[in-house]
Amino acid sequence: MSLSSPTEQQTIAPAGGTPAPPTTTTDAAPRRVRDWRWGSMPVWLRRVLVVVLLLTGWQLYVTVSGVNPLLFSSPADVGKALVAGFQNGELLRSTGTTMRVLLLGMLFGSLIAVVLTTLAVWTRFGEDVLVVFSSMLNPLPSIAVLPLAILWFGLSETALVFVVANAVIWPIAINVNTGFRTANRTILAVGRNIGLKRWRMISEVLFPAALPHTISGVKTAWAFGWRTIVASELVFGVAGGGGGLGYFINNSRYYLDIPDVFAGLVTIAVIGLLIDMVFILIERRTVVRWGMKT
Amino acid sequence: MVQPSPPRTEPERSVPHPGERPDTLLRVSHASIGYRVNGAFTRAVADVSFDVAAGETIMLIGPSGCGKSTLLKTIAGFLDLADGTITVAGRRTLAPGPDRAVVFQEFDQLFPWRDVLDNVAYPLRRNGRTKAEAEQQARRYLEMMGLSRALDRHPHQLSGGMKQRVAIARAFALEPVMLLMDEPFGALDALTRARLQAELNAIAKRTGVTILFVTHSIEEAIVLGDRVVVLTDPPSVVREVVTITEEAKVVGSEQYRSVRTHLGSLLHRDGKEADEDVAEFTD
Ligand SMILES: Nc1ncnc2c1ncn2[C@@H]1O[C@H](COP(=O)(O)OP(=O)(O)O)[C@@H](O)[C@H]1O
Ligand SMILES: [Mg+2]
Repeated sequence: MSLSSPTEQQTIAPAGGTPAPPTTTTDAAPRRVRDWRWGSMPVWLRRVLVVVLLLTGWQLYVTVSGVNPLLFSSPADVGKALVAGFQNGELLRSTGTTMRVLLLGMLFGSLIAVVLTTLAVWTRFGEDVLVVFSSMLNPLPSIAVLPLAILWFGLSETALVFVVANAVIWPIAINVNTGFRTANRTILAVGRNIGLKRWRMISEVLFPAALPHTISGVKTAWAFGWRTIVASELVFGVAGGGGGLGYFINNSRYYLDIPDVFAGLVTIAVIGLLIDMVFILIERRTVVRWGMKT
Repeated sequence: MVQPSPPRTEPERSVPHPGERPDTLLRVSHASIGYRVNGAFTRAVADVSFDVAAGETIMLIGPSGCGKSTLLKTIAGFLDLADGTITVAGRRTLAPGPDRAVVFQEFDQLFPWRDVLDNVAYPLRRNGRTKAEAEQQARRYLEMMGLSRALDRHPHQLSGGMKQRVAIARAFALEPVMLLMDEPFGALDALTRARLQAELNAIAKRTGVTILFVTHSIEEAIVLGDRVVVLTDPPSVVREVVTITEEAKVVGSEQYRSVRTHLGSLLHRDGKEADEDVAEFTD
């Protein structure tokens, strides 16, 4: 397999330029046989089954062990709390608040990251600024700037947006910058050869060439931002502020509404899953389709 | 990293050049090019001069590392001359530009995020064509390279030979003043290479474009070239410029053999190696 180079495959292609359609060989046949082994099931089914398994185990544990319901809720109770929370609008409102702050923070953070990385390829000074700032601020746990944010903006949404933006700038900037630095030299040479000037080189060659890195940067940023926003809301809840899923969880604990605590956690987990799926879709339509993801 | 590239081409003063043909398009005059490695300047090209007439296909051949790519990159405007002058259509080649379209050896010279049609049409759009004009022209040149059925594929879905065909179509579609090709078939198998050589000859004849083609294969030089510039080991100078007659292009003919032997001797190669090259070529 490793011995067959692309050049060898070329000899198979007819002169017209289109290679022959894939021939049906014997190795396609076994796949038609119905096979109920775990590995032969579609991914989504496997994942759903794992979730079902988890819920069953969870319910069984709560029913059988008779654990104190003030410490642990059953999936059934959590399910009821979820339905109720979304029906009376409380959980929905909290989720909306968290997502709004998160998206705003991501938006500002990405914009700043794009400006920083653009300046970094544009000028040597910009590169130095990016290197110094990212190496100083990236290792800092983003929640650590929350006290400063509260000092500057009070117990407001602005403070949260600030903290999230700071959390997402650095993973995005560092990854985009890596994407720029490792962009294929030949393609850059082609860009200059066809007469692209600085701005178009950056927007139409460097950015698409850096897209695989950019996407993984945004993924990391999303994970950072998500953790940071929930943690900040918990602190806000403790400090007497309102709104958001972190606040919802903390508040439910305060009123000993344990199913609601779990409902909040489940909501966070499910949103995480959905966003991961969005990233997979984005990758499929871009870097995977273009053969840029290895 | 991205160098600012203002239009630095300027008209060269018209100094009469001894023996210059009136239709000279590329003039390399006492070119000296080197690299700065760890502070020390090493010369790759010592003193190279040759002229290329409009419509000519000139082959640049020489031992590995003699500075063929260095010279081509300097003509393309990617590298600076240490000494001498290079002009294309009377203008010094100080910065890259679409008037000197380059085809590289590397298969990854296509934009992976654009399909085949757009890889050829996009450079045209960026050079003043409307989207419709660009696509029409791209289709025409892709058809010439036998790629009409692969227009909506992405580069990673193409074989190496097809990728090079797209790169050639892209370069021709720009309708440049001249084409610079740096061993574009170097990484292809013998059969595909022979096929692409024939296709290149056909499209070159059809468009009448001027080509500078770097190769390390004597046979390729004979099959494609009107003349062959043979370089010495680095720091290189021109050893000889060999004219290839129509008769010499007939593989196996008396003339072909004698030109091949002659080029082989210029490259310090004994007959055995040259024979191996033929074997590889006719596989
Ligand atoms: N980027 C570089 N930095 C330093 N030296 C280089 C560089 N590129 C090429 N060289 C040197 O210049 C000489 C000519 O290289 P090149 O033009 O690539 O040769 P070739 O004729 O094989 O294309 C070689 O000795 C090579 O080592
Ligand atoms: Mg070379």
